[in-house]
Amino acid sequence: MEKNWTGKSKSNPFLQFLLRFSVKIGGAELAYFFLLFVCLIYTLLPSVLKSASFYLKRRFPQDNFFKRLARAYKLNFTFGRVLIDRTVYGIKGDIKVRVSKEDMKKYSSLAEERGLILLTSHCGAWQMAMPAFNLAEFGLSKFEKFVLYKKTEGDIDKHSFELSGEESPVNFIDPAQWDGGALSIISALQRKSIVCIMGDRIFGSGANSARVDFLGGKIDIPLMPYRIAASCGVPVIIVFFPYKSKAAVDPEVEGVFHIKDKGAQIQNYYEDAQVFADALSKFTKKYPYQFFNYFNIWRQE
Amino acid sequence: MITTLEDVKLVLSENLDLSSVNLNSVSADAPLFQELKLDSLDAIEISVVLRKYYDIVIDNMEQARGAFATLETLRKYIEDNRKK
Repeated sequence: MEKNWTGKSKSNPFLQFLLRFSVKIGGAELAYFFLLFVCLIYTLLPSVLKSASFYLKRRFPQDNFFKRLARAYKLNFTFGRVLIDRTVYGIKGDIKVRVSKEDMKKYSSLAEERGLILLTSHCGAWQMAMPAFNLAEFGLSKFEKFVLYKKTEGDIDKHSFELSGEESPVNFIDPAQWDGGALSIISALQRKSIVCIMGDRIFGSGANSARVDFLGGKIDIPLMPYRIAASCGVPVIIVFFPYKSKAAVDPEVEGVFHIKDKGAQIQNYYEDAQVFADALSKFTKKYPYQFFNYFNIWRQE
Repeated sequence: MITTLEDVKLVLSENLDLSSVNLNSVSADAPLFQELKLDSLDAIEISVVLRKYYDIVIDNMEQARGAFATLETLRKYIEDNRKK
């Protein structure tokens, strides 16, 4: 499947300015207030409603137009809050990723052994937790961290470290290379680093993807993370970051997976990809307004 | 240890799906990934091949990036770094 997303923000410079200005004069609370209206304008835009509806029609197939409109508003509002929190608290470095000591120890020892792949998705407060990649509280601060991430040129959405002018706490691996960033990922893992990959996003032609079941349809997701994990003997943690309260992220770990090396045949890893899709499906059931893939990810059968 | 271009071609042909490519017609200096039409999963398989056949672990991306440019640079990389 050719990629049908751009990665570019749907926002515009004026509304971004309005929100940043309100943050400056009144903090997050004033920005939330403005967001109530900004979000309404957005949601009423046909293109935005259409973008949100791809997911909402799958998640809530019985809805009529008005109900879907209300849900789109809730979805967009949650997304807006995440972006405001990222701006307000991310700049100050106040975002806490809350993990129990027991889990910290577990993940740290896993990473120490062979490195680690964190597999997540464009949902919840990933914008708070991952692009700032404030993993210090995740018990993984001593490890070198990498993120497979394509920053769209000219995008007006900024990560907290970009806004604050600080050095990025992570290294970015550009997936738009001939190898999709695979060699950089392998190289990082060999040095026992932590690599974060969005498991729901295909880069390039998508030839090496798995077609999996998701919310009553079929979607294509990348197979590269599973093959790399298997070939390097690196564990995979499926983790999502639901948005629950401002300035704090409570990661929900769906499990630690040791992918068996089943050789070079990519179809041997479809089952592993389905595990991720099932975990994502479970997330959308629990947090219906926190799935932020604003494009049609479903295959037309 | 001496590594020839033929060694490298043989190992690649045995481990990658190169059915659409005539490996013998690929020159030593041709861009590796365009000529062999390789993709992300092939890159992973080459890393597996390097480890399995030559005990080479890719842990320095800067070094490896140059190594994957052509068949000749790959051959040289193998020759310089192989432990078996």
